[in-house]
Order: sequence, then C-alpha cells, then structure tokens
Amino acid sequence: MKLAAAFLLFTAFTLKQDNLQKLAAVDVKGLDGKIVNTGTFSNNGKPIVVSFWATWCAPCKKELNEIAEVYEEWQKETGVKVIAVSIDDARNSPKVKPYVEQQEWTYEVYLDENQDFKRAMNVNNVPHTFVLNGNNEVTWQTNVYNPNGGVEDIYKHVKEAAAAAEKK
Amino acid sequence: MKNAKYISVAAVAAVFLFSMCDYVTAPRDVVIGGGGNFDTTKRVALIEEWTGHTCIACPAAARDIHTLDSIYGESFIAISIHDDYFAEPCPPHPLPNCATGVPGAFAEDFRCPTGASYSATWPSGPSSPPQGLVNRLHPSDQVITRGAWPGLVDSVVNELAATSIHLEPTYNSATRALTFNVWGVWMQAYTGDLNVAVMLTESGMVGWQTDGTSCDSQFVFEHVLRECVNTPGSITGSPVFSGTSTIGTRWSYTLPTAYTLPVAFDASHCHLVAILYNTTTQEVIQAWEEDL
Amino acid sequence: MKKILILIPVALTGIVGALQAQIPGLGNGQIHGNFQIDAQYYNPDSAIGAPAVPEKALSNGFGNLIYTNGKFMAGIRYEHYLNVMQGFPVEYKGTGIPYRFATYNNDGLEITVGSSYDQFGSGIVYRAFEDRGLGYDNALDGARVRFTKVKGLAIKGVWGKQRTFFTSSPGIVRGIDGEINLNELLGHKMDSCKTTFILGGNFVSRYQIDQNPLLDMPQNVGAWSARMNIIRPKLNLFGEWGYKINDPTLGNNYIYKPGTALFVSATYATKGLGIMVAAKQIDNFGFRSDRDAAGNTAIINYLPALTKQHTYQLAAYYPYATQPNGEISWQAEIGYKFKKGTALGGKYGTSLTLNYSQAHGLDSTELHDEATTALGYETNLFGLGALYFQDVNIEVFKKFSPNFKGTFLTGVLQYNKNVIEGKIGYPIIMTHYIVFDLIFKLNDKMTLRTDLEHMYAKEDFGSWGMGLAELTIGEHFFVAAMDQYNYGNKHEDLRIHYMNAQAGYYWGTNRIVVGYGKQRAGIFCVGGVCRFVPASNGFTLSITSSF
Repeated sequence: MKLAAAFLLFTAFTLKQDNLQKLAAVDVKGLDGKIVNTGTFSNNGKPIVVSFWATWCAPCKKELNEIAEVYEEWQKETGVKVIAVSIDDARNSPKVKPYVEQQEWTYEVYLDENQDFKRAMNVNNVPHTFVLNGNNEVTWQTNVYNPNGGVEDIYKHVKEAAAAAEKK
Repeated sequence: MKNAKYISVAAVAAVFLFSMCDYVTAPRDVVIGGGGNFDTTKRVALIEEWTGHTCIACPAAARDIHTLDSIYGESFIAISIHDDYFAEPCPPHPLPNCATGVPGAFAEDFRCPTGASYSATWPSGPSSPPQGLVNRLHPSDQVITRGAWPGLVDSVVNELAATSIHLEPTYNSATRALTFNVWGVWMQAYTGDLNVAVMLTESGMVGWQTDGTSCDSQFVFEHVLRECVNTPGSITGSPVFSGTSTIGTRWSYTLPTAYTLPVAFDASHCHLVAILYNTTTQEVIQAWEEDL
Repeated sequence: MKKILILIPVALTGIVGALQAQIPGLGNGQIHGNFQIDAQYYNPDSAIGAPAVPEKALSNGFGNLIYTNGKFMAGIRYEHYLNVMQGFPVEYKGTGIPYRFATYNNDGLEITVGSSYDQFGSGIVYRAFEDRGLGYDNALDGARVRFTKVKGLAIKGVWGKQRTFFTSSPGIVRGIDGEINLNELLGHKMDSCKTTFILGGNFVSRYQIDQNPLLDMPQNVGAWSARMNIIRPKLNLFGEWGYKINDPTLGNNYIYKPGTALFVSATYATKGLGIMVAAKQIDNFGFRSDRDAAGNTAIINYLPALTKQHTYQLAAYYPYATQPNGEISWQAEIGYKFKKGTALGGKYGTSLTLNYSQAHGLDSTELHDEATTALGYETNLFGLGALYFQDVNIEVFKKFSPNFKGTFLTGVLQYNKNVIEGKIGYPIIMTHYIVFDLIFKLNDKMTLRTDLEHMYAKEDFGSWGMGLAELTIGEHFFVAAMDQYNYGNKHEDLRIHYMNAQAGYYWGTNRIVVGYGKQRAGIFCVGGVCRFVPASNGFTLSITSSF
C-alpha cells in the first residue's frame, strides 16, 4: 500500500505536467443501450463539452437547461458538441431518457451508472463540466454552476478551444 | 459462428460457478449433546449482550443464548445489559402498537449505571441491539451481532485457559451483606495487566417484551445486569495481576468491604460473574459464574 | 531499513523514467486527482440533542490520485478520519490507503488488480460502489477481468473480498456477468431492425466459513439474475429477475428460504414528453459477504428504492430505502413540457412532472411447524402487506422572464416509521410538503435564490417551516442563510430554530465553504439501508479540489 503511494508520488515528479489532461477511456452506456468507450468520443476536431449531471441534481439541470437554450447558436458558431453524462444509478437511470426528451435536449447523453467515468475524471460532485479541445484534451473545467454567467464562461472557453483548433 | 468459442468458454465458466452453491436441507440445526462436564483446563465463554424490551430482534437473541447455555453448560456465561433507547420504560419511550391502551405495559426499567458504563466503553453496543461481546475478543470498540456469537463461543471454549478461576461468594440473608473471594492458579505464562470485575446479575424477572409483531407480557428476563459489585457503577473492577505470570502461582482478590444487596433484588435469583480481563485489550481471559 | 525505504522510491523513479524513455506508448503518463477535506467543530447542545464531542472538532478527508498512461491506469485513495465525523460509521478510524488499483486494457481484455467498483445489470445481484458523502464503500479487493473483444458481447468477472472500512469482510465474492447486444453481435443482418435487443445474465457466489455450532450454514451461497432490455427509439423495456439460494443471515433472521427479486421498468419518451413506469418485488433478497453483518457493511447487491429522490430538504425529510427482506413497490412519472407560446407554456415554456410511488410489505404467513419453520414464512405472490411508503407529488418549473424563474413542488407522503427506521409504536406518518424555489437575477453580478418550504407531519414533529436565501456574487463567491423552524412541535420546548449560515469561495476547480449554525438530526439513505445523523451545532469547513 505504502509502496503504491510512493510509486505514484514519485512517478508524478518524473512527468511533464504541462501536457493537458486526456479524456479518460472507460465504458459508459448510451441511451440506445450500446456500450461506448469514452476514448472514442469525437467531434471531428471541434471542441466538446462534457458535463456530469444527475436527475436529482438541481444545479446540474439548471445549467444544462440554460445551455439548451443557446445550444443551436453555439453549434453554429463553433461546432461544439455537448455530451451530458448522467451519474444516476439504477434507482434513477430509467428516468434519464424521459427527462432528456421532456426538456428536448439534443445533447449526446450517456449513462455512467456505477460512476466509472466520474471516478476516472476525478469528479468529486456534480455538476462538473469539462471543455475539451479537438484532441479530447481538457482545456478548462469547473465544478460549480454559477448563475452569474457560468454558462457564458463555459462558452468563452469553448470559443478559445475552437479558435485554437482553427489555427492548427 | 466465430463467437461460438467465446460463448462456450463463458458457458463452461458458468457451469463451474453454479456448482458454488451449498443447498442445506433439513435438519438445519446441528444437534449437539447438552451439558457436558466443565473441563477446568479450558476457557469459559462470556457473552455480554445489549438488549431491551422494545428491541424486536432481542427475543431471538435470548433464545440463542438459552440454546448456547444448554449446549455448553458451565463453560458458558451470559450477561444481558439493558441500556439506552430500547431499554427505556414506556413512557417516555413510545409504547409498541401491540400494547396500546394497556396501562403499565413496558414500564419495567432494568437500566443501571454499570450498564451505562458498558455503553460508554462500547458506544456502538446499545445502538442496534441485540449485539454484544464474546470475551471482548473484537478489535477495539466493536461489537458483534448475534449470528456471530455461537461460532466464537465454540472456539473460545475449546481453547486452553491461561489460568483457572474460582469464585466463592458469601451471602448473609439477614443483613443482605455480600462478599466474595475470587482466585486462580496460572496454567500458562501470561503477560499483561489484569483486573477482575465481579458483576451481579438477576434472572427470572417477568415483564413485557415485543418482537415487533406481538407483545409478550410474561416474558422472563434472564441474567440481567444489576451492578458491578467491586466497583459499583463502573465496569472497571479491581487490579489483580500485573507483569508476567509463573505457572503454578496463584492470583486472588477478596472484596474488602461487604456489598449490601438492595432489597429490590431477589437473592435466590441472583448470580455473581467474575470477569478476569486485560486492561489494555479488554479481552476476557477467564470468567466464572456462581449463584448467591 | 530506513535507507532501503528511501531507496525504493528512488529506484522506482528510475524505473519509471526508464520505461517512459524506452518503451513506446509509455511516454505520456499523466497524474490527476481530487481532494476533499471536511471538518466540523461541535458545540454540545442538549436542546437539539447534539452530543458533546470529546475531541471538540472532527475531520474526514480523502485524496484520489490516478495515473494514466495509454492503456495503463493505476490509482490510490488516501483517507483520513481524525476522528470520524458524527453520523459516519464509527468503524472508520485513523488513516490509510484502502483503495488502490492497477488496470491494463490489452486489445479487448481489461484486467484490474486491487480495488474495483462494478455492477452487473441493474445491480440487484452485484454492485460494488462508493458514496463518500455517506461513508459507503464496498469496493472489491481482488481481481476483475472485462472482455470486450467481440462487438456486442461483454463479459466481466470479479473475484475478491469486500472492503469494510479499513479491513475486509470475511466472505469471498466470485462473480461473472455476460451481456449480449443482439443487434451488434449479428451485425448487418440486424441493420434494418429498429429494435435493439440486449440480453444479460450473471452469477455471484459468496464463500464464508461455517463456524456456527447451532445451525448448519451454507458456506457457498449463490445468486443469479437474468435480464432483458428492448429498446426502440421512443420505447425502452427492461426486466431483471434474480434468485438466491438458501442464505440464513442476521438480516433475514437466519431463515433458509430462497430469495427472489424482480425489477421491471418501461419508458416512453418523445419530444416534450417522458413517461416512466417501474415495479419491483423483493423477497428475502439481502445479499452480503458476511452473513452476520449489520448496518451498511458487506452488502454485495444493490436494491434501489423506487421513489422520487427529493433534493429539497423538507420534501426529503422522510426518505425511503428498499426493505431487502420483502417489498412490493411501484412508481410512475410523467414529465411534460408545455411549449413556448402556448397558454400554459407562456413565453419560455413550462415543465411539469407528476410522480407517484408506493411500497408495501409482502403478504406473508409465518411458518411454525417443525418441518418448515426454518424457511421462515410463505409469500402470497399477488398479495400486498402493510403500507411502507407512498409519495404523490407534482413539480413545475417555469421561467417567467430572463431574470426570474422558479420551481414549485408539492406532495403528500406516507411513511411507515416503524418498518423503515426499525422503531416501534409509531402510526403511519403522513406529511404534506410544499416548496417554492425562486431564482432572481438581480444584475450581471448577483443572483438571489430563495427556497421556501413547509412540511406538516401531524403524527411526528408537527409543522416545519424553512427559509433559505442564497446570494451568488460575481463568479467566485456565495453566501447563504437558512432557518428550519419546527414551529408546530407538540412540545413547546422543542420548537427550535435550526439556523445556519454558509459562505463559499470557488475558483477553477477549487471550492472552500465555511458554515456556522445548527443542523437538525436526519436520516440519510444509501442502497437498502438508512443511516441516522445526529443533530449538530457548530462551525463547518469543506474544501474540495481537483486537477
């Protein structure tokens, strides 16, 4: 146990930490029942927003509903794709699709029923939102929903990621 | 189909797994000869259990203790601690639905300061009875549930004892003065600090008990903790040994001043339980019970 | 010895460095992690039943570190309980690294050694998971293998011992799960089929030595389940049926009756409308890796409650947890969005959700004759026993203007306190609750949220009122004040204000929240078991961070 700790800590010192966090590759389930590896998430080089949420999380729903209102605009301007990852377990996961349809979300939605993806991305609590560049690298993240322009802030970083992708 | 091989491997694995099932058919209870003579070289098993008259699983635990008693005889001792929420008299404790409208139901109160001292030492003890200690063998302040008692009792009574134990009470029914002498001879080398606590318990009290669905107004409460005779109100007891023992030598403790048995207690149903325990680990090295 | 201890990490660093330099595909390792530290100072307060804490202040915390390098992943979690905070299991003692794992995914074969979390199907037979906020963690310590080489076929196997606090449960858990997605497996032959068929099944066996001199205990207890999921673009049907062989445990009072579980759900969802119905029957289906365990420990399976998971405090006052010994329950939920521009939709649309759930005990007859008494009871398959829980509620979300929106929730709930909390002497408690959650955007820099709630529970503590105001200032700061007032308590001296205030500062992925005040006692539920958290009065601190 102690060895493992020492191993990890000292490994940390040998790493270059300037490289961006890669999106973890673990299995989640689509609303169509298909098992999908998060490593295959793709938006053809355009930015992706990955937002962890749950049906029982009021701020998460506020945030995603707020994004839903401007999502078309975002897509037109930057080509961004929003992926909403529900961490609801078997108690509430059957409610995810009905809720998504009720709110008319057009996001890609996945179920992370046992929170493997959440753990792999070091998410403490929901909401937690990641902005990924075209290479599935995390360029920005936040673990709160801020009603004072939190959504605009996400978009600001989406635009940065999109601009960086264009330059390449 | 090329996937057939994977599926057949899985099927073979499944067959192996399904054999990992033990179906138990009647009779499910193991029949063991009762009573047996006490082997003086072996350890005595002591259960100290938290219970209460509104604890719905406690009657089942009382039956288990009764069964253990009939199997292990003198090698087995029980102390029932009535403390905290489930032992509170009604009112203020809510009256079980099955006794609604019966005056005086669940009014009995077997709580005592020594019981509170037990709960202070093992805070998780009274939280969800029935649970308790078997020779206090568990890590730090943990208590175990009733299903784990029989296995531990069985292993304890088959272990060799470090010391013999003898308890000699003297009771004067006229003055209600109670004294005792407790002693033993080392049979193994032992290192540690030992105290002896001598508990007074009483059996045969009739009162109310519920099992959740029904109420029994004629429930008989056995080996109910009343008092720690040598240190009243505390389970600490008195120091009797320190250091490393020499085989064949003797340790002893005599109560210096007599304890007066309260008139509320029926001497003919009272027992004394001597508990020899390690003050660091709390482990009960040896124990013995005598009637007054 | 000390020298060796220092040398080990140095050597490891060298090895890792060498690996990264020389072995292709191992050069881009990353370490990421997250931390959480909570602490509370406790003032004893006999009026609210807050006990004196000898340490005065207590703290829990943890830190996760995950190292990823291509297909390799390894991680640890350090945890501290110094000493464990009130309301968490007291068995959490001291510090340690109870969670550590290494995983390599080699072309469709993923092997994990160490701790793992996983679930089979909906989890009714096997689910290893954590809920740090509730102190629940039954990670499996051992090995896990996942095989996903063939598209449409997923096989998982686990073998290990369950974590119980800083030790492990005495039983050994072995399990296998297989899932087939017929459409993916059969490939193009199914292309034209709009319906997806997914079949699955699993088997889990627990070994625990029989040391009980009174009863003949089965040492190997097996449980299995089969499941089917049929998915159409708008429709989703799911069913899972589980069976468990004789398994006398503390939880079922040491009876030998086999257990069964059935869980079915159906959803229909189309633009603006979502409908879900679900039902479940549980009969003697508690499954643990220690037959004598109580409380939240050594639980192998997960039996979700079919009730609305409330987020508002007074609506969540009486939570329900599945009764593993026996329960029949069902739930229906309809969500509808009134479109913008309609009479009910207004300018921005209105969301409406109706939810109804109910749970009963089984209709059973106790068996008392010599031959069958060890089986405990007999179940009448279609009968209903006592009411355990019912909740009927309606929730409306409406945006009134760009700067004003609100949620309204009201419902009636019935709660069998005797069964759910293991108490005696209570009638069924009926509560009425109502919630107004309003958000006002004051200007670009300030948002005010007010949360006004009321609950009436005649048979328990009478009326409760609650008010909360939360002001978010700018992008990094919030303050909140709350009062919960039990103004309708039958006992006048228990009409207490539970007031507290919080302030939080966050930037990036860091968050610091401080609070001061009184918190009422409450029940928090996880899996099939609920836990009581005593009242407290004092200063709280919570820090979280991730990177």
